[in-house]
Amino acid sequence: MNIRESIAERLDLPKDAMLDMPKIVITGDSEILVENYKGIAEYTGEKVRLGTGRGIVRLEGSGMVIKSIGTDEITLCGTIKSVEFE
Amino acid sequence: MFLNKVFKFLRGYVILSLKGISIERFINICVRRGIKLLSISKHERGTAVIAVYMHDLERLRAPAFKTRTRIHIEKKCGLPVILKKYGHRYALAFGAVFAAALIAAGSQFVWVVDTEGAENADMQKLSAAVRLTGLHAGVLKSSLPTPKEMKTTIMANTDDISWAWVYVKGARAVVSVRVKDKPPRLADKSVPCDIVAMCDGVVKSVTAKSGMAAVHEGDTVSEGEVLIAGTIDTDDTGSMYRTVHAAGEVRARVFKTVSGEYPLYEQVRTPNGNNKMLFTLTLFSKNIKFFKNSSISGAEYDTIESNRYFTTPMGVFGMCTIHANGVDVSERQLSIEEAEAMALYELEEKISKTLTAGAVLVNKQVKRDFADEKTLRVTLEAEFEQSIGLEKEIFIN
Repeated sequence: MNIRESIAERLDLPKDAMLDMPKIVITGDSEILVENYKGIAEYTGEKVRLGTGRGIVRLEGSGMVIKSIGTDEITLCGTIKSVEFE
Repeated sequence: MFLNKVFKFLRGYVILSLKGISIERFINICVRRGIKLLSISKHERGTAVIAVYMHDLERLRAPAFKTRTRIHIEKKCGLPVILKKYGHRYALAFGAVFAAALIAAGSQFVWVVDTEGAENADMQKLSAAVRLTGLHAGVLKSSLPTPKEMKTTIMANTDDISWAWVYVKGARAVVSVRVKDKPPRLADKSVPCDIVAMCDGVVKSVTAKSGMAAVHEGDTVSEGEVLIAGTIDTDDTGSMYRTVHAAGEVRARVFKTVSGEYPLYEQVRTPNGNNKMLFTLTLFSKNIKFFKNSSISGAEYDTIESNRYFTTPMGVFGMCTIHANGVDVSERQLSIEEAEAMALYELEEKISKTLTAGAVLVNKQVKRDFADEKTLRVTLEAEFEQSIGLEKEIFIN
């Protein structure tokens, strides 16, 4: 645990804001919201790889469509099957 | 989501297809440069479909050049596109605005007044009461009193309405009413009468509340026979008597037999596709026919008529549509069971009309024979237990 992590831990500060960690919100298996992402590394209808502060997040599913995209957050729709950190 | 769609439509957007080896990089650059990508879907490797606002279209040129992505405009959508396409057609624009204004103005009035639940009400009185509220075709909706005031006026000016309310839905006003239940007719107990049999039967029970029972359980009675007498002897000789209004219930077993002859075939009407539609337009209460000849080729056809009319102070407007569908008529052979089932349904209906309230079926028997080769004769014999008493006034000379 580095200094920033220990400060965030002790002061009960949100880690996604303090440590630039991704925050992932999954709604059922049909929608996923990733905050604090850095960019899209790969995008196909079945697989999306997103760069984050903690490495690459790989989302797998089918019929995945980018519903909305901004500088800090991305929302994907479709059938989500798995979320993995590479 | 709906508001997003509205904004998208108002601002105008372009659907683009992208082709290239670094579409992900193209998207990342667009996002970093603040180009709003509305939706992105990818079909196969190296291609994608995106939507962007029309004013961002030019800004895509640099990222596309940098990532060697080819952009093709698939479709332009939204209000700016419509305005560009039809903006110079002033007559069309004027017509659209005029029509919208006409609809907006017309929707401020009540054009149709309907009533519901008034099947047994005095329609003349009800219509007059509704008119007194100020509600009629062509009235401005904002000038109407509140539904509560209209209810009070309707109730005060009618005798047979127990509840009323007025609903205004668009250009249609519905006057919903409930008619009062009439109180049961009270028998005049001062009139002397007998209870007589309304039909032949075998007496099952006699309950005399007033008068003297003239029959007993097991007696066979015929139509018109006195069951409970309203004349009571006051001495043993029979010369002195008094009359009362006889009351009570006499239940008896009654036997009913009905029969009928039914064909062993039925008519089948098959549509032959020889159809015709006849329109009649009604403008200012005048009918304008949109056909010269109303006849249809072929011997048989079914017609379905649908009318849509509304009354305004300027007259009746509406349209009448007649669908004339030609049919081929053929005969279908029925099995004996099918013909018997149809016959029984009809015969049971016939019997049920002769029964009194509370009649109970005790036994039934069905007989069938052939009247001729194509006709089945069905006889239904049914035994019921029912009340057979009927009041009959006693006339004293």
